[in-house]
Amino acid sequence: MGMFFRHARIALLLCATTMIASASAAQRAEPFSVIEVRLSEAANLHSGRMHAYWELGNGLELALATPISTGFLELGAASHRYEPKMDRPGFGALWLYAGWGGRIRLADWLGLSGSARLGNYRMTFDGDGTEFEGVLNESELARMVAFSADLRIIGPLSLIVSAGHIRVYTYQRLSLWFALAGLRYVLPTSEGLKIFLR
Amino acid sequence: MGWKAGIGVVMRWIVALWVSFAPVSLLRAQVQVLTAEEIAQAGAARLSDVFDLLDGWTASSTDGYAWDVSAAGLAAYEDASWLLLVDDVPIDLRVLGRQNINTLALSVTQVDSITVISRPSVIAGRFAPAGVVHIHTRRPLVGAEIRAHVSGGNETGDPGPFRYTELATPNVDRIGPVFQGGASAAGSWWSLRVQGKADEHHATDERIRQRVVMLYEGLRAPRLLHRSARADAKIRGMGGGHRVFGAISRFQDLLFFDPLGLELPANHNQFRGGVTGSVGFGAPITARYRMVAFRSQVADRQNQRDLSAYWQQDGMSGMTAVDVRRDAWQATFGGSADLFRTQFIGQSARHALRVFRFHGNMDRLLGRQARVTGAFTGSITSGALGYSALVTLAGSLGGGVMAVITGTLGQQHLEEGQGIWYWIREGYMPPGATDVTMPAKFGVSRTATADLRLTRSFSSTARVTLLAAVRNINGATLSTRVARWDAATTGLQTATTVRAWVSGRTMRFGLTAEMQPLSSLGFRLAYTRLGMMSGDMVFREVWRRHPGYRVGATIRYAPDGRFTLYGRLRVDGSSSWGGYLAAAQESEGRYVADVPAAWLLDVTAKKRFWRDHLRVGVTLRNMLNQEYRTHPVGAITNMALHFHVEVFFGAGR
Repeated sequence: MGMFFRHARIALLLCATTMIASASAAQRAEPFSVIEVRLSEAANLHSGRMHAYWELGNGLELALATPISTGFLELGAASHRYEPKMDRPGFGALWLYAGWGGRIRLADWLGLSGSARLGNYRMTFDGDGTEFEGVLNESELARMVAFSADLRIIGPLSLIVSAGHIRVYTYQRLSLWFALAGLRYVLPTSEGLKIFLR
Repeated sequence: MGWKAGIGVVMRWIVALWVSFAPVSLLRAQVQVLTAEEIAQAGAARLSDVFDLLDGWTASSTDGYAWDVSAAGLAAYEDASWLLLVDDVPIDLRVLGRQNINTLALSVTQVDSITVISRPSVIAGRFAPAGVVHIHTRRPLVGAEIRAHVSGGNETGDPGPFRYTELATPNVDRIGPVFQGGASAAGSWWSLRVQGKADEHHATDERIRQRVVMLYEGLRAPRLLHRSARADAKIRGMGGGHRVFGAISRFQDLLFFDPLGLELPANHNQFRGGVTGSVGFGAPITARYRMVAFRSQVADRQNQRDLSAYWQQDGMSGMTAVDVRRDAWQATFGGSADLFRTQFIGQSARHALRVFRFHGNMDRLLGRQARVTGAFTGSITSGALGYSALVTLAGSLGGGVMAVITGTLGQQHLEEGQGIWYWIREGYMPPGATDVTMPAKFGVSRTATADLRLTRSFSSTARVTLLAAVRNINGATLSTRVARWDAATTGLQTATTVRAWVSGRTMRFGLTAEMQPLSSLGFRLAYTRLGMMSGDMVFREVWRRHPGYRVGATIRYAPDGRFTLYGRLRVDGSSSWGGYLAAAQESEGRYVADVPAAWLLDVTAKKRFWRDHLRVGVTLRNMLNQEYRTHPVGAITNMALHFHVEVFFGAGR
């Protein structure tokens, strides 16, 4: 029954993303016509069971997105840092992902978007030269669901605020909630890049 | 209904077969064909991944790399007697009772298509009683092309940061990476190809790791390593074509060897080279030939107890055949000779074996649209006689229903099969094989099978196939074992008993539905049921190791040919391994005696970029995160993420 609810939850989140993507299809831009660059500061709001051993982490995220026929595709990288609470190594994490989502433009200056992301959560531990020597990094499958709002400041530049949840499929699952704030810049895709993407 | 009336019904049915029939469709109705595009869309990175896509074939593995395969209940896993062909050339990869397709010197990206026959057949001049996997490689297009592929995976379940806490769990290693590449150049009458493959697999699952480290010796974590290279050149001329080929492979194996109860480090080295081709003598007659030299060697791999499983076989194989083609019929007659010289530990003299075969088949169109095929083989292996006969009738029953009925008879001696029990009988004593009880006398394996396949096409976009088959097996040589958990070695103590004259009867029922409502969207649903109708105790015990059913549901979505989404749900039934009951009870849950049914959902997304020069994909395997195992003492795999990157430059895709 537990497994059923877990899968049902994932299905619901995917449905929500699909609905946004479908709605955005009506307002769609030409596939690969623009590249959206997002740079955000990430604040870890909750880290589940891990919180007993490490402080909440902060980080930085850089993402690129481009419209496709249904919604948009995105690639992103985020760096998160976790400091230990007790005698354990701190660690940095690199979250590399590919995602798919949709954006609805509510007004000329306001848009809402949602996306589902899948990628790799690579953890590098500060063990070098300490008692924690050995294999000091680990990679694990992770998924994320994120929702964002963007408010246009001027021209192609917008302010973006997001909230997201990352689930890392370690044996004891990591459940990480993040809030992000940053800037979004939209620029036209060069012909060469369009050819590459198509 | 009397017997005369019964014969009348059968005759009328046979006559009905010979009416309004499309011969080309008939061929397709009898086999399962996987195209290169379908294999790529499914995210296959290794050749063994193809077995997941087949209807009714079951597979078992302890490490997830070396798979024991059974073609739809035709033979037991330990037989490993399914026939592998690459471009019409039979390839025998068997070693110590295993045939691991991943050791083939061929990368999955060089495959053009795979034809799979799930019933006994006569092919390449041989009787194949346990199914056929025929790999057709890509034909080089005129010009030059280069193709490189890298893939890897990451299974979930690592400890993550909790490794530094009281919640620590064992590490789960990555899958691969697999590097595969090839290049070709071709003109209008010639072609040249080279390719290579490097693959690695980690034996770090906790169910097998503790056994593996008892013998494994190496600086890094226990690994299986495969390296191979292959080259061929082809010219056209004299009304046919001629191909020279060579392949070399080295597999550093950690072979789970049942009698030893541990993973035995061993190197499997192979070389194969030869020439094959055809010569035309006017329009209707073509002569074909094949000459192959090969070496297959089990060499020592460094291990803690200096155990040696040395075994080496050198051989030559020659075949010639004549094809005669007319409008309404075609016939083939030919013969072959295989000479083997084998050396192994425990015997100083070389063991010589000669196999002479002759074969023929006749394929005739009856009227414009019906077809009958008959084939036979005969063999003499060091004085032992083997034979086979096959008859296929095919035709339309009207209303869009096509039918194919096939019957086979075959007899094969232990010498011709050359399985592990043959070599132990001849004196090969692999390490740990001391507790193997052999029969006083071996039997002659006889099979009789019947297959009926009905296909109903509703339009060009939908098709339903119904399959029923019966296999009668007599005189088989099979083994049972009793395995106990050995806490001292963390392995198993096994007592193996080889039984001869094992007999039984199995049945197969299958239902396949295919539909393509849109050019961009396709569905396929296949259900296969394998059952035992009768059999002695040994037969029943061995066949219970096979899952009783498989359901495969596939959806393919390709909106523009450049992006594809492939999803496959596979349900494999449970299997029962009675010989491991004691080990399961004593190992405190590490091992099981009953392998549970598994629901496996795999999803692959692939996208082409850069004018098709680059293709990138991700596969989520086992998305439902089932604890998937296929052997009672084997590894458990969970959800895993795989990536694929393929780069291509050249004339084709």
